[in-house]
Amino acid sequence: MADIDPTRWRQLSPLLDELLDLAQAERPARLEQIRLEDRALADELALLLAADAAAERVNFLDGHAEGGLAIGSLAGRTFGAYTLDRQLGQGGMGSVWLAHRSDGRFEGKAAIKFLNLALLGRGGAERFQREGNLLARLAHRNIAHLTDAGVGEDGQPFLVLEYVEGTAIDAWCDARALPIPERIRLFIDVLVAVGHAHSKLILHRDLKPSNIFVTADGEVKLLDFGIAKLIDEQSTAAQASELTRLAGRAYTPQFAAPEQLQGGDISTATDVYALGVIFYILLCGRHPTADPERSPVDQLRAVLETEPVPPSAVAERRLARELRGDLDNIAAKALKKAPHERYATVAEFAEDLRRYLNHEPVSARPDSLGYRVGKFVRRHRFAVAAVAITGIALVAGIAGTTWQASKARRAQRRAEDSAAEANASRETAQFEARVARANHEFVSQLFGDAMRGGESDRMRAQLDRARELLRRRYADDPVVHSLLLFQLAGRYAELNDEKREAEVMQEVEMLSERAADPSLSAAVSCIKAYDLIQGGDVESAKPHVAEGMRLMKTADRLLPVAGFECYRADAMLATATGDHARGVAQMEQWLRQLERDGLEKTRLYLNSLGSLAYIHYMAGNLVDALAMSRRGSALAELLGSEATLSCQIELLREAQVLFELGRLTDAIEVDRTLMRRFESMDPGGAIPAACVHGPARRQIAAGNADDGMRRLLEILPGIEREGRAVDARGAALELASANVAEGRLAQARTMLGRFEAMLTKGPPQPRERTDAARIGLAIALAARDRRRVRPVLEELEAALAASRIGRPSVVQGHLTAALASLALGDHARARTHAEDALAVATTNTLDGQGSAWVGAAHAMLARIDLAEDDRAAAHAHLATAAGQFADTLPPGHRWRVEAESLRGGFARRRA
Amino acid sequence: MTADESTAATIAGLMSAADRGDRAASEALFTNLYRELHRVAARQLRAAGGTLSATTVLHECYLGMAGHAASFPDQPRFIAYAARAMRGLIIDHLRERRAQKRGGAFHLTSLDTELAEPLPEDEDTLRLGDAMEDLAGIDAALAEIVDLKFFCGLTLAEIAALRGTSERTVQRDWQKARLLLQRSLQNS
Repeated sequence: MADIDPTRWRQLSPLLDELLDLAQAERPARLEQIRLEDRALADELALLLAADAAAERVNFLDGHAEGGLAIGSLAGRTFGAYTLDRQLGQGGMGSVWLAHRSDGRFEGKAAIKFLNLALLGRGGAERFQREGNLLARLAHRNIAHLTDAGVGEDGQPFLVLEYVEGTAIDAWCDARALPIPERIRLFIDVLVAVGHAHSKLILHRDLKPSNIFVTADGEVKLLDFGIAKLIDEQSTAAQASELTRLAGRAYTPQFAAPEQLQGGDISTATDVYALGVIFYILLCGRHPTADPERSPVDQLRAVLETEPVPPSAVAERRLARELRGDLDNIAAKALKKAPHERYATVAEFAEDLRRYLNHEPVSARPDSLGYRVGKFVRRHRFAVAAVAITGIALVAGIAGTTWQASKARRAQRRAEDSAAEANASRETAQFEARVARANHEFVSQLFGDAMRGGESDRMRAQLDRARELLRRRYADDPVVHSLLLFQLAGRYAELNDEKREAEVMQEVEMLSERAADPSLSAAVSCIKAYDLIQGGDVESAKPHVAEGMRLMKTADRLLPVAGFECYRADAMLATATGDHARGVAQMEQWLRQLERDGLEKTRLYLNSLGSLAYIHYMAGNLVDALAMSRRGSALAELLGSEATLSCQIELLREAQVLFELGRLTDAIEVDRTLMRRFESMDPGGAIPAACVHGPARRQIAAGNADDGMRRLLEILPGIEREGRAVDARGAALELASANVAEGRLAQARTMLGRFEAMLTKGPPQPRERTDAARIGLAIALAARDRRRVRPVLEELEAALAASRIGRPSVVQGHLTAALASLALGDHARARTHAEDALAVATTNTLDGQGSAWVGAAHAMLARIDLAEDDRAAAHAHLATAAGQFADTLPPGHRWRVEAESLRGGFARRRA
Repeated sequence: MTADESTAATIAGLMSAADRGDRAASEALFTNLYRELHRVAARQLRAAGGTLSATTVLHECYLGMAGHAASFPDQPRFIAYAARAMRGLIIDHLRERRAQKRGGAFHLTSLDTELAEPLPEDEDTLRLGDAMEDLAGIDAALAEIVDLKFFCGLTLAEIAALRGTSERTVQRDWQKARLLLQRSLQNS
């Protein structure tokens, strides 16, 4: 420190304070400012900051020096049958002592490890001993034996271990400048020993070179097998104090697998990863991801994000050729971020190494993309941290997601063959499934979340990049590529980018032809069918559904996405052709399958619930539809997806169902929530056209006709252009209807004409026919065109007779028909229609709650009663109507006002 | 006056003198505190037979003396002075141990224990002693923080309370002290 004197320090110190207070990323800019004024000063500060980073990295001066005081104090004390000789080492996990047996029997030396745990209580001591005894059964010549686990009189837990004199494996190899094949042979011994422990269902969980010793005879000895778990469990069991909780994090960050750092589940794959790190170090002498120049946090992040550079790329040149190819691939496979992509067992790992030594082909295949991703991540580390995570997760995570259910089943089947492996295998499979699913959900979430802040442009750019990445990565795997593209298509859909969504789906279609995978082809076929059904072309959809269902049955494994698409398309087709019961049954069967596979907390399940809600809705089961929609919304909230489009669609449905149940005020409230969501997702952004129609229609119904009509007019050209015929026709009819109600008959006629012009693909659907006839009748009535009233009334009656499902459109149809009949002086006909309207409206009510439709039917009956001068009956109907309107329509609504004025007129007449 | 009483009185007197800036008094204070701490540590080791902490030693030492002098300075002031002596005690202890190691066949063996933060190797701690002298020359307050935290085992919060400053300030000073020491050890 000769270069810094107190005077200089007084100058440096305040600037350092300032810099240290800044976030890491902001420091360079400030340093540059200082540099402009005083170059030397800035350089010095930079050096000091580097020293700070270095100190942080090595945990310099963490803890304290007091340990030194205690040295020597335990020598000569006895623990169990052992007398302590001297301390061998000291660390956060505890201290280790060399000991000898003091009970007369001579069995050589032992190492006694005192664990830095809070003193164990009675129960804890027993558990510790029990666990320790389990470990003691692990006997293998390459594993340092745990002889005993005990708790001293003072409650201090200790372990008695075989005393090993040797050198850490990396140092041993380096000291002898061991050639690569020798290193591999030694490493295979390590794998065999770990494999033995795994077969006893014991994981090491803290493998690292300093835990793998080589004795003077050249024999490998693994130390501390299972002890990390012992410590972890004791710490949690003992209601960990702060201290033990920290100590309980028993792994070494540099050798920890991503799932360990993320607090995920630990499996044999966790040990495989650590072995991969060690193997990598043995090959090329450096750590696969840790860059000593970077901060500890960055280093941990690197474990999660950075794909290791192939060993051959970092090794000395003379070694590079030897490593390139198989050894690079083997290391890469062991070091996969996703546990299920690594070697499934250490035996497989060892087998590949043996094959390499025998010059046979190895199972690990090149994985060039990973490295490219790594470079991508490094290049854009600051700019697009979020993308990097997503990109990696896409590549590393989702790949396996859709396979998990069948994979778990297969693993279970396999497990039945071998009782010994049953647990391990099933656990592994379930673990993989969980990880994959979590990964998928996580990624979906990331995309969904990003929509919240109005970042859709950025997200779109990220998706485009991911799409490009997938194209390069999975060029040789069309099935996985397609599965990932489904995800992408879904994300584009959430961004409301239908063009890109369609492009991606087209890509999938092309890939599926290449892949010739029945499950994938089934999905593609059914998606096509679904789009056709949505477009109103039911007939063309039929063969696609049939083909999809057939393919699905021939597939030996069912991709969840295929199951979803096919069951949904089949159910939708059934619904579209009037077989609602089958539609509901198909969707329910699919939901049960998802539940059986443990997939009821996924977006797939959420989407399936949505489809069932839709089918119930189409079948006219409004109460069921409402229940499903609300279940969907609740699940979306649980999954944290409430900012995504799929959740908005549930809200949209909920509002529509409430509207049809006559709960207009409730429906409007849901629509408001929906609009708020859109606003927070993308402030000032356009609302997807598909989400405008319904709310606009309900706005009109609620009496806010101008706003609603304006919005419909805005979206109409767009949806017409995009060929969304059903939506376009619906909007035209709604506009026509609203215009009649407002007395703008010319506009109403124009809109009705526009609707008719859109009927290019066959006759209108029943609902459309009813609506068109009702509007035509309303126009005729308003125009007092008596000649037209009668034929249009007859057309409306025909349409109503053909309607199989009761909906507001039917209620409205009957009410208009009643009004027309009344105008024609046909009271009986009017009453029949009014009563039909009441019957339909009454079947579609929520238990014990009012319905505006029921109210409207009663108001119509009152009108007829008044025409027949039956005042008592009219009075009763009007009272009922008023009651029904009270909590279902906004104050000042036309129907409410009309009912009140009728009552008023009636009262005056009575008076 | 018992031996304890006279020691306590001496140390109390020396502290007042050191407070006034008396250099000779502060040297003598260091020697006395060192001897006292050493005595307490040795007694504690014999009695407990197990580990004991520097913090405990400091407190024991303080309680022992405060009980034997009518107007002994308060604990924060005492600790501020004693921390440096504690550093000396620990460094010397390590030096002694290293001497033993050189003589005997100290054989560093296998079992790895560096699961949590490793304590610095003895050798590093000894070099740290020299670096600390340099640090005290640049900024005595920073060196004191290291004495209190690393050598005496006080937490940053305790040090903040001791000094009557915010924990953030102590944290930053600790960071600065540490980076200077790190740099010094790197360069040496």
